[in-house]
Amino acid sequence: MLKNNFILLVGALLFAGCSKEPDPTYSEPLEQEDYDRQQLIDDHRAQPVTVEGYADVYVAALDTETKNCARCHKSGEQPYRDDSLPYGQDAHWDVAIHHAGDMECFSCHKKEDPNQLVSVVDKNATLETAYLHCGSCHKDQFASWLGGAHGKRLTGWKGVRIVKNCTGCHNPHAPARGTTLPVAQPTITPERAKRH
Amino acid sequence: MKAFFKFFTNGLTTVFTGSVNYYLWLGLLFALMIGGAYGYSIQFREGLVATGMHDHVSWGIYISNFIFFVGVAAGGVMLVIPAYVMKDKDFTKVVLIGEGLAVAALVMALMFVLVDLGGVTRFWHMLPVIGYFHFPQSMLTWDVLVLNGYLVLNLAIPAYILHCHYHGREPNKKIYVPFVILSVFWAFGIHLVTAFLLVSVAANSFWSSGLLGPRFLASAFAAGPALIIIIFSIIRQTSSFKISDETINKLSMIVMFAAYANLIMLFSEIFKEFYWVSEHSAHARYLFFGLEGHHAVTPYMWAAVICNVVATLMISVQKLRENIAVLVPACLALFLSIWVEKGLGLVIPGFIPSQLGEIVEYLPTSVEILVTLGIIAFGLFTLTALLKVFIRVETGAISSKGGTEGLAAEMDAAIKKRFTA
Amino acid sequence: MKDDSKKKGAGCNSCNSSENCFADMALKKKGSRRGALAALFGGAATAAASSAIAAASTEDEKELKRIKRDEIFQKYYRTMTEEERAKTIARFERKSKVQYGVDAHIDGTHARPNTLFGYAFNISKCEGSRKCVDACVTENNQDRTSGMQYIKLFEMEDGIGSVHGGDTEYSHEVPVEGKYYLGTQCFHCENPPCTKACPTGATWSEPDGIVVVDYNWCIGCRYCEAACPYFARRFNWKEPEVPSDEINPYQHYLGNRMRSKGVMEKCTFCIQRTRQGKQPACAEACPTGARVFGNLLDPDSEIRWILENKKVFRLKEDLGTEPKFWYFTD
Repeated sequence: MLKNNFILLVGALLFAGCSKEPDPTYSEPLEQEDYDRQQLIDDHRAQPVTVEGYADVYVAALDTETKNCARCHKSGEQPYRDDSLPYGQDAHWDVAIHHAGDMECFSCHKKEDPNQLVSVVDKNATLETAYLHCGSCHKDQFASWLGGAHGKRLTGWKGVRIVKNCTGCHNPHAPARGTTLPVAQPTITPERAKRH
Repeated sequence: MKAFFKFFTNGLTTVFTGSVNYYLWLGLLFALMIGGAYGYSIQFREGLVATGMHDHVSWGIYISNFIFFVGVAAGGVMLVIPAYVMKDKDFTKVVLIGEGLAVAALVMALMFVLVDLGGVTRFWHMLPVIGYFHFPQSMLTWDVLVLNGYLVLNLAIPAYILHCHYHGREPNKKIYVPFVILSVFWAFGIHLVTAFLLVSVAANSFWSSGLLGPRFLASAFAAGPALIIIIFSIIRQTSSFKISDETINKLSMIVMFAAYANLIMLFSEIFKEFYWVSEHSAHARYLFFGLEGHHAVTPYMWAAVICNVVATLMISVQKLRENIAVLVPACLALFLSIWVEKGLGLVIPGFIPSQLGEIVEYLPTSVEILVTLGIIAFGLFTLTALLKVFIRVETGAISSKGGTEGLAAEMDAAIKKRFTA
Repeated sequence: MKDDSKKKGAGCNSCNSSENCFADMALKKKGSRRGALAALFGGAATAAASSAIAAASTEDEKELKRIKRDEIFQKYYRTMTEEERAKTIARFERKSKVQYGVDAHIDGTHARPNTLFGYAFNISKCEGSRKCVDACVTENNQDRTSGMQYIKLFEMEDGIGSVHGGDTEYSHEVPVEGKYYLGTQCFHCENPPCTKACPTGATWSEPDGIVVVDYNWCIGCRYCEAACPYFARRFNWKEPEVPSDEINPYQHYLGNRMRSKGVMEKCTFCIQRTRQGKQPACAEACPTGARVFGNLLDPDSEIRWILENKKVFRLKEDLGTEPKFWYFTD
């Protein structure tokens, strides 16, 4: 009798105590408000990608102002040249080309209008749509960039997708990224373990 | 109820009366307990940073000792099986000592878990009904169940029997024998569950071995009875309670066979780790040879293994085994070696290298050692108190009829006997 | 100054003997917690602010004590009603004000429907600059004095696939020729061993796949830390300390709100950000775009594109933990 009660009691306790998984709770679905979307596009001065099938992808404008090439390079004219400076080092003294070995300025820039890019596939590539120009050689990277495996998304995971242009991360004249010193040194060997 | 209260107070007086040596012993234990309390006060205020543990080695000597003492508690069952199940006369007399040891060891084990908690004030969260008892998924909830259940069983059964003897009655077998049988299964349960606590960590190649459970049982059934033999020899020297050579002999046989089983399994594990050395053997390599210049536990482990083998060999020879002057040191060596092998040598190397291969060593701090010693002292005090009451009741020195008058004279005799011996 | 404050912040740990520890603690006890903080990060706090703190300190201390007392009897977050949750959150917002002087906004947003978060990490792109680690620590209010970090970056020899061969403590210029970089953090397994191990259910998997911890329900047994195959969990071995002016006030109850000593914490995929549609701080801070975060249930998401078009792998896949964290190459 006593034993039976005891077993019952333990059983009941276990049953009551064996807490069951609480039901999941949800919040309202996340809606990106329309004005928010426009706001983001405006903030990044973003333009839709001019590739078919990717109308939802926006490319942010570059942080730096694009130089107005036409100021010196008048359309159809020979590029301005100051003979007192070494060739290629005059107005663009800060440009050093380290790109695919033997490339020079006009491998990419149109002679008559340097704001326009020479392009294998798309004749209308500009500095703003540099991805078209880059993508004509770097096909894998271009596909990954469109898909989302390459490049940098500037907005949240939800809502409008605004990404950086190729030239947002890579210096087109020397696209290999340099080295940096790492930050946030880890403290995996706690000194205190040795101290005591 | 009143009778039980008297039994209790009478017992309590017994605990605090004894010879000078006894008081010295109590004094030592209390000093260690106070030290432990001081250490814990620091740990409580500062957090577990006061210990040597860190994210890489997140369990240290607390959990090591917890696992070892659960084994000791389970080892007490090696007296229960022969006594109640096989009805061995020699064991029936001393079985309560085994149960007393189980209680003391469990108290230690539970205290080791409690001091290891980061938020001890939130402890109630894991209790059924008032908290959220994540049962049966979490092996830790299983451990809470089996340990506390075993504690209750091992408190209730001896209390009932002693209480009856105190009143000069024979205990009713129909009441306590079912619980005794239950406690036998439960003893296996506590140690298997404690082993599964580690085995269930599937990602840890060092712990997640099917052999760990049986190995735990074997080492428990060697270490527990080995400690009991030591206790027997102390009781024989300090009191008039009779423990026959036959009992000790039988017990030493149990120790011997359990030690064999333990060594075989240890060897199997070592073979697996070292025949083909893979990334999974890194823990064992650290334990036995050190890794990349880190070898904090290596000397202890080798000492333990050598101690273990030598002690097992000594116990294996009948002539030596029957000589109490050899048996007791051998048992002590075996007990200590299993302590190192199963506590220190199992928990800590499981974290080195860490899950992602980083090697950060662990050394216990003085705070941790103080607390550990304090808990062991508390356990020894519990054991002393329980045994003292047990012996007094069983030798008839205290009972519901007589007081505690006979105690002093008897104690004097015991001291004289000890000093002349 | 910074070094000095670090030493003091480490408290007992920095001293050699227990006597010193004790003296140190006695000192700490005398000054108010806030006073101690002001002293610790004195360089950052202005004189005016600290005197104002001193005036209000006794009142605040009483309130803080009351709040801490209420905290002891707090229920399990998952079984609370919505009102209880709101009350609890309000209490923690107040606590933040009293204890740190920070007006924290603690969010209690639940999982969004039809959302399952996943993460992809490009081991060809990562340069090992650890900017993600830095952003993570700042975003998630981790203890500054113990240097707790959720993310680990392994510098790995080309041709070696096991992180056991990696180095996390590099401090030279990165990236290094012939090496690649592999980051780990909580992988938010679909089948997490940690939540199964927890005896109190204090850690669980949310419907959107994020594995979270109720910091006030955790008892600090650290079983989850041992159970995690990826070394993703971090324990507060001491009272965490973050200078008041560095505390991120945009918090979530299950995310980056202030923790206390003796509880487990971990990466929550920046739950306070991601449930509002933002990216986790690590993904946002990554200078190379090696980190891609998104909704696995959205077929148009970048993460789905990666899973469908790239060769991916996960760490220790043989364990059956189903991490929602994939590695891929270009």
